[in-house]
Amino acid sequence: MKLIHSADWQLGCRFKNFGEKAELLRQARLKTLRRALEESRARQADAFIIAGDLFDDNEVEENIVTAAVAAFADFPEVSVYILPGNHDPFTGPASVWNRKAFLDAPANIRVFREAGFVEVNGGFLLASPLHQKQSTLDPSLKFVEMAKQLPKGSSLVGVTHGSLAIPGQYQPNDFPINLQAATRADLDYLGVGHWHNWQVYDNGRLVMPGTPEQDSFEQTGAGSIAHVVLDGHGAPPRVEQVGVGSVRWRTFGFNLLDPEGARAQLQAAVADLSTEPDSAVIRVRMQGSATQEVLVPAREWLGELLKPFQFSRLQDETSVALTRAELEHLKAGHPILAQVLADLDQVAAFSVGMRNENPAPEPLSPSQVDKVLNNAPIDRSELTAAHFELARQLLLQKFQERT
Amino acid sequence: MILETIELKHVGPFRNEVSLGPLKNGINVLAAPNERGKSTLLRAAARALFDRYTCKDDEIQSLQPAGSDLAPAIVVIFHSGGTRYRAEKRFLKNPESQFSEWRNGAWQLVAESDDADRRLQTLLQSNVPGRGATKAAHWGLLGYLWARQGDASEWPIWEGETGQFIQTRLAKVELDPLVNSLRDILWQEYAALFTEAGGRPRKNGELERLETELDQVSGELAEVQRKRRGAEDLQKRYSELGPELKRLEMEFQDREAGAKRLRGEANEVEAARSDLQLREGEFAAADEKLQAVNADVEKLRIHRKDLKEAKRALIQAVAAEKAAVAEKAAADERIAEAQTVFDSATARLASLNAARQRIADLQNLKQHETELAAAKQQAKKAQVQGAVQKALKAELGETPNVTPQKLSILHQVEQQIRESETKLEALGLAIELTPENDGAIKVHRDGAEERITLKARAKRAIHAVQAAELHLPGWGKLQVRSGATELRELQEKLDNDRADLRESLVEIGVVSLADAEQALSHRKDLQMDLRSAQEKLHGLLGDFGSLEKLEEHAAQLAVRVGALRQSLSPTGPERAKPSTDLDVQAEQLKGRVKGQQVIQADASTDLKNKRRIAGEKSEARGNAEREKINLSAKISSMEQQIESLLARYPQGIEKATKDAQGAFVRAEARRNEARSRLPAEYEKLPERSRRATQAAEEIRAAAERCGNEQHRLEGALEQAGAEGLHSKECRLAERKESLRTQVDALRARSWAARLVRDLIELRQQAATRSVLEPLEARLSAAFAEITSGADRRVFLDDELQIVGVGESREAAVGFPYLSQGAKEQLLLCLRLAVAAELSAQGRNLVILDDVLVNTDDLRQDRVLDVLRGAAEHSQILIATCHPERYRGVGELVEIRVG
Ligand SMILES: [Mn+2]
Repeated sequence: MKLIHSADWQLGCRFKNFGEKAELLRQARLKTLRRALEESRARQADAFIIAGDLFDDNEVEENIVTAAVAAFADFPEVSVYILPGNHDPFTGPASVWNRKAFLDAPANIRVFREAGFVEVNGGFLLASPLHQKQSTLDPSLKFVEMAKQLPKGSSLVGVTHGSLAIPGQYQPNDFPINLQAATRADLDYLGVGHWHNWQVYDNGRLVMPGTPEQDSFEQTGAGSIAHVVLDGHGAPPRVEQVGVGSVRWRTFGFNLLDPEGARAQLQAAVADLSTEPDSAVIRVRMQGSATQEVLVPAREWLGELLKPFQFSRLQDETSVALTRAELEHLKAGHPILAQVLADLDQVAAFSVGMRNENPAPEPLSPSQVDKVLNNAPIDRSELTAAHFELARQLLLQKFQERT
Repeated sequence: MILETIELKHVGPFRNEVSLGPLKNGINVLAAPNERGKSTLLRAAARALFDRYTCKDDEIQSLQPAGSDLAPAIVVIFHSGGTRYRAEKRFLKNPESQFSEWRNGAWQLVAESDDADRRLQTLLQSNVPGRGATKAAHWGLLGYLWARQGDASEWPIWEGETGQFIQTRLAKVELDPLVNSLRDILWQEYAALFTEAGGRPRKNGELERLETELDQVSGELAEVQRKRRGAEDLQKRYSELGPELKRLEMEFQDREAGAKRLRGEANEVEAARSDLQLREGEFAAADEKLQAVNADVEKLRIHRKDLKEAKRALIQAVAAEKAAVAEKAAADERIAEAQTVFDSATARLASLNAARQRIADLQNLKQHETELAAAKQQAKKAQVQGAVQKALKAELGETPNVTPQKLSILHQVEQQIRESETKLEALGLAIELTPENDGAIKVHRDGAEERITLKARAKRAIHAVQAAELHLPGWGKLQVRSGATELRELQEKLDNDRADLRESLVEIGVVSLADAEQALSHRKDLQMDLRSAQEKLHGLLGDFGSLEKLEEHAAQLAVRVGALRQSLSPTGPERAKPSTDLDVQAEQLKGRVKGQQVIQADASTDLKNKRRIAGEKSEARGNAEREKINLSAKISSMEQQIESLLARYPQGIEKATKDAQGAFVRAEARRNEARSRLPAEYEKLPERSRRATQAAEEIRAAAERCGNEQHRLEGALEQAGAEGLHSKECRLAERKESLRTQVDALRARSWAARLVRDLIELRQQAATRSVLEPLEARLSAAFAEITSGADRRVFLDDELQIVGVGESREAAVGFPYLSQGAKEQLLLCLRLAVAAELSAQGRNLVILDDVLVNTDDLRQDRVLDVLRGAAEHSQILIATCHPERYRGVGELVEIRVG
């Protein structure tokens, strides 16, 4: 018995910080789904299992549903078994599984709307679908009874969706699945979905393949499906992690301490991605402080470098720095500006509770502080330290530009 | 700049060309009476220098000569920065502007129209408003140096670059140009997105566009989320409905079965109840019958007892009747006896009363006889007294009728006669003297001489018989003699009086006055006697009043006595009996009558008692008779009733009673048996059955509703699911996030720019403030020179506005509260200080258009000192209608025609 086990496709999901380009990332997933189906066909798997959360929500728009069904229909030789997960539980009439596309689905698609089993190549596929978004019940418990009804000696594969009951790592109402759930129900393999990184438990019988397409910079084990071969009841499953993800999420640093070195490093890293710039999500964190002469060209260079990557973002955490000489020059030659810098610290201390390191010799009166804060176009209650840092940077930047 | 010449045509009162100037560098005094166009000329020059030549504002139109449409044309020649310029403008009709420079001894046209206006603005550091005419605030430096007529006590606000510039110059602050440029750049950055005045995002600016879209997207997102929550609620309800429906259906089955069971029980109970009803009817009938028989038995017993009693009463009634008859007869006999006793008592009382009457009559007769004798005696005495009175009246009639009044008149006449006789004897001369001075005269009359003193202007009479001789000192002798007239008149009067007296005495009937007096005395005596006689007669007559009435009374008494004698025909002894005997006899009879009256009353009472007893006996007899009859009737009626009662029970009343009792016992047993067949609480069963049926029906309806709702929700949920709300929410949230980031970045940057810029400005102002003092010192000195008040200082605020004047800032009198004179003088000082400060770049024109209107002569002189000092570095043009005030100061200039 050969299976492809995938989960958490989350079609129609939301991407933060990408604005209108999020649409492109969503579309990439459908391509990846087709790639996974292709993989299944190539490996002649008996079942292509989706262990929950094919969709991000029951209320995804119609064209996502039809596009998914169309993808399955394009692979008639692949038997697709779909389990409703916590994002797309079978809730009845409003459920995505009751859309016309699924009710009239082609023969190769089977949705487990209720718990049950089906025979697959002499073995059995046991399904425990979700009917709600939250529950404290272990959905794999049903397999214990279900397995007893089936002929002894046949290969038994469970499919369900929920969090792994690893102490301290799961929410009690998030369908906690016992870590020995496969052994407990005498299953040969228990394919689950929910978490987005690859995990294996219960002596290799309990597998969580993670999402087939990475969706955040922080993920490390995403982008795969599992290829499972069962050699008969009792034999340990042979599980292969198959990478299908296309979008690469990368974070790079650029430190102004060594602008030249940082440039060379980044240049090399990006070169690897530039063959498929639309399949890369790049984040560059620019850090450190420097003078305008260093900062401005560095920014310009980075802008140029990232131009081909539409999913790129420059996270500018730099600050303008004055040299000691510059600072002395400012204080001596422009006492008013020195005073304003001190005033900024004072106003910041007053309004966001920052510590005032250099109290001014002639501090502003409370009414003067009130006046300047009232004139500026952000409500006082919304101010953060970052705002004052920005004001400071603005002053220094303008000062540097003019000297 | 300084002014050289102003030329006008078609302006205000000047229809033809006029000119002013050329002006000198120092003080120029333009002196002319009011309404000669001084201010108009200056105003026109300002319009030419500062307003756009195309301006058609009221300010410009007011330059036109009244009632004309002539185009005002103005030429101003001035110097600035060592160059001579000429600005020429025509307004309204065919407007035109030309700007020329004096080069190589001739005017070179530099610019025309808008270009010329712009060149002028740059040179004068002035600007123009978006529309309309310029105001002093637009006039650059001249805005501060030109004190306009009427605005002398107002200082324009330091505005715009010029204001700032002058402020800075005045305060001698050399502001850091880098800081200024930073401040301006930051402001530009802020103002690119925000309005300068309101601090709101600029209309149609990037920020406004982004924020508007953000609001819109947020609204749409909230709407989608609201819809989603709605769908979730539906889903929740839907998932509850399944179990609820199942529960309802099960409950319905239970209820239905229960209701059916109760219905069966209720039907059985109903049959048993109708049987019971029948038995109870029968029982009631038997009960009724038994009671009727028992009632008849009781009735019969009572009737029989009553009959027995009635018969016994009848026997008693017959005996009573007989006794009553006998008692009546005995009573009648006793009445006859009592009647006899009463009659004899009555007869005896009558004879006693007759005897008593005769005695009373005799007493009466005796009384009348006595009264008659007395009346006769009285009449006799009265007759005698009447005769006396008559005699006195006659004598009075014969006496002469002298009254005291008449006598008194006679005495008067006699007195007059005596006086006349004396006068006649004494009658002679009467001389009256009234001298002018005090003095004395000698009088000789009838053989005597006398000295008489006279008082001045006092009348003095001197009498003499027939003649008198008066010796008047210093004058001589005066002889006076009388005539006969007065003597004759007196004689005639005496004769008349004597005749009157005689006549009066004759009339009275006496001869002399003495006789008259005697007659009067006699009359008085007679009248007194008459009065006493009358009183006596009155006493005799008493109540009768007159003798006739007394006699009539006596006659009446005589008649009565006669009549009594006739009726009584008293016997001899009776007549002889004295009245005291009669009184005793009358008293005795009175006692006997009283005794006999008591006897008669007792007899009457006894008779009445006897009669009452007889009446009672008669009534008792009647009653006994009626009782006998009544009882007989009652007995016969009762016998009849008993007979009819017995007739109802042909079989005998005892048997009937026994039968009824038997029937009652049987009916009661049957009823009890039927009752025992009903279950306990059988009365509540039908209600319970009905309730159970209703409950089952209600559950059925609820289940149906539940099913309908489920069906409806299914439809709604299917529809909601197909809407793709999640995808919409995703897209909107992504868009919102992106917009929010952009908006926040823009706002934060503008905020930072504004904050830093404001802080810079704040610090610049503080720097300015720190150097205020020197300026205050300069102003104070100038003001002190005018007012000669060295201890007073002038104070300015941050904005370089004059706060007030006084010994200290706290004790300063606020500018608004200063006198008009002080205000003018202060502002004059400030203007001159401004001009002085700026003189490093060249002389500046200061225009004082009739400003020192409230300044007294003493101060005026000091003002002139100050002006003379200022003229060292400034050009001063003074327009005034008081030339005497500026005499000897500077150059006199005038408006010249042509
Ligand atoms: Mn999940």
